[in-house]
Amino acid sequence: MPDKEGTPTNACDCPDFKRTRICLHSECVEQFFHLMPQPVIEGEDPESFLVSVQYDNHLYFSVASKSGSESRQSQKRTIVQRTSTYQWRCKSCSKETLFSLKFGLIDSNCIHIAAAKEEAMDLDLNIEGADGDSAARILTSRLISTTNPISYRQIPPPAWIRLPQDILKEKPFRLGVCLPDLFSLNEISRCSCGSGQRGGSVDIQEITIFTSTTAITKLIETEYCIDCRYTKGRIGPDLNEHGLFNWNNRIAFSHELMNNYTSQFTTSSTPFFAFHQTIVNCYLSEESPVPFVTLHLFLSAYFAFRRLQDLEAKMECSICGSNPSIVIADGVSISFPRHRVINLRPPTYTDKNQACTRISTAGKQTCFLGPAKHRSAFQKALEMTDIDKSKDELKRLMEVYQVIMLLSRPLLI
Amino acid sequence: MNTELPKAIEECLILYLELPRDRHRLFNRFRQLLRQLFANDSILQLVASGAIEPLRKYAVGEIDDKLAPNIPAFGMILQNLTDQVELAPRIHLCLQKLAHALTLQAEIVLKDLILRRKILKEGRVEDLFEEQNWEITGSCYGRSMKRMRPFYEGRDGSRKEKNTDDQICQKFYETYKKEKLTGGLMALWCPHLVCLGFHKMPKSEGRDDVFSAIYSYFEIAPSVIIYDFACQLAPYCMAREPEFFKNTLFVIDEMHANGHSSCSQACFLSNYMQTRPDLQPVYSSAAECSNSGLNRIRKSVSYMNEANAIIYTHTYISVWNRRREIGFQKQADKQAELTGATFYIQQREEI
Repeated sequence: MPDKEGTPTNACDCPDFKRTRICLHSECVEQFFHLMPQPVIEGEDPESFLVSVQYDNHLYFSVASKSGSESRQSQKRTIVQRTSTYQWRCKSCSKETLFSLKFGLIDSNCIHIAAAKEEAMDLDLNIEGADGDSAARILTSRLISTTNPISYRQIPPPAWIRLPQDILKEKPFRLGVCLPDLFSLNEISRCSCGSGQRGGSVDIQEITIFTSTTAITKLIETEYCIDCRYTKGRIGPDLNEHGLFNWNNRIAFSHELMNNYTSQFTTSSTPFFAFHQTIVNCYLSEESPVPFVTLHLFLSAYFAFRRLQDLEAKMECSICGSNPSIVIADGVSISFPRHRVINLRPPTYTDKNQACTRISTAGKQTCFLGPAKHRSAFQKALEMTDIDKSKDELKRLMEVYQVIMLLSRPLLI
Repeated sequence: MNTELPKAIEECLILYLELPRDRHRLFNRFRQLLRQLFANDSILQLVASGAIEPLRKYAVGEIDDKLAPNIPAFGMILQNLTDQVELAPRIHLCLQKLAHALTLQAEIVLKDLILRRKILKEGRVEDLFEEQNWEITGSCYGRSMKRMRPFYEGRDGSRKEKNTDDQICQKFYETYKKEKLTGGLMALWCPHLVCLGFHKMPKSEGRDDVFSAIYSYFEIAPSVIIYDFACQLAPYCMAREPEFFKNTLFVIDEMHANGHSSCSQACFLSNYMQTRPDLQPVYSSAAECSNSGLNRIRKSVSYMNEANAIIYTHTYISVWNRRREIGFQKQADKQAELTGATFYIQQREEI
């Protein structure tokens, strides 16, 4: 956060920083700031927040320390840990933990632990059981980057779902054997900012291409982007024609790798984690010179790739035509967390000022114009399995009905 | 004022009570007609707009070919009258009176629904530009929005509207009960398992989702809408846009029909399958089948943010549709090779 001079500064609560103003944590933030994702929380810090999941289901929550009265609280936070044996520990209230252990209590339950438990319940985590996988998924999904890639041209659909009307056609990748040693800049090359303004000197650097089986290292020509020079943006070739997706001029992914995941998850239930692990294992088996990218990077790249890929189906059946005579409607609970709703605009959205129709209450619409109670009595009588009983009941009801009809005839619509 | 309908129903009841029980089929068909007459549903479910003309003809003694397909309850009784020489004249007379009374009442109700609407402000298609980007809105129907769903004053958000859900049909959506998640996905399918579009629902599914999707994105309303909550969808749509939906048949698919114990037979697709050959081959559970495929992405989507969830779902559905299309083309080529027949697109006559 900025200090009183407006310079970005960081501070740490650890004993090393307090003593020397230097600690591993602050150094880490300072040196690798550019690699860190955008802040995941907007507005004021939440009371409790899941920050990490470590091996053996250790969950770590960052909790507002809340010392003193409400008006005297600082922005300081503490760490609450849920161990692999499902015990809760608070870094700030170690005395309480000792106290509870001394008196035979399994868990301490300070305000921080209570807040962390509440957060865990809000995230639908099983607080008394192994739920490391779910926690890892939540953390990963938060970190999907929305960085723009260098590639920007439309990507053709994979060959296995190519339709005759598709204009773009994907060339076979053939394990990358046809790739040139150097990818040169051309007139359609541009930077991730979208600018294609050239004018700087051309540099040659290494680019790692990640495929389904192994990583391949090649050379690529890049050039400083005039428009975003201060952010070290570089213009690079699109690489679409080689079946590659240029992420940042240092990393590229083969289209076949991304299409492979599309094929997997549309054929069977395959989360990103499972696919990523399969590729990591494959790289180990194939003794790839470079290990596969992290899950976060793969996720970000996949969604950026999909935004460019022309998978658009017509949403129309070639047999039924554009105005189908039979439509089957059904809802399915494929949903995402409600608090992440931002722009959704379903067709159910209405605006009184844009379109408004007044409807006054309609009259009776049923076939039977008598009272509703009488109608349901007839229904019950007709549903009886014993026909004799049913007929007797119907006779009785009809007599009543005739009387009602006589009395209410002028009232009928 | 229609005073003929109560009288005609009364005569039908008297006839039913006098019918000999040894004519099982005729007896059962008559009972089914009575159950539809005493149903909670609107008369327009039994006598849809397309059924008015054939019924009118029948009332004067002319049996039209369109009678049985449009009102199976009448059609099935008439089918059983061919060998009932003694009973037939009396039954015909009773049914003709009923047909006349039903025609009158259906016309009154339809006219009433149309006249009770007053457009206060008409939505302009030009204002819908922002609604077209599915990546942002989460509504993807592969076509541009045709009209904007108006706010229905006196209906939308009224207490009475909410209460009707609880009273008539007890359909219960258990899977949507998780309050922390969005309502899910509403998808429209054709009987050939091709997705015609979808939208992400911020809140749990309801009739409004089907109504709004069809009204907003379709040039003309489909002839048949199959939905597991069709018994309530029909009055919902007819109350709001009777002109648009007047030729639409709303029916519950075969699989879900068992759960609707208090709904009349006129709401079930199986009822129309008896007399409509075009509906017999319809795979009414297509949506269930396709949606079960969508369950493959349920877990992944539940951890995603809005933008990624929309892209991920769109990817799945696009791939699904492309696979279906490739399948059709292969099948058509095979059939053409075997029979010399040509593959053609069915276009609606109404356009």
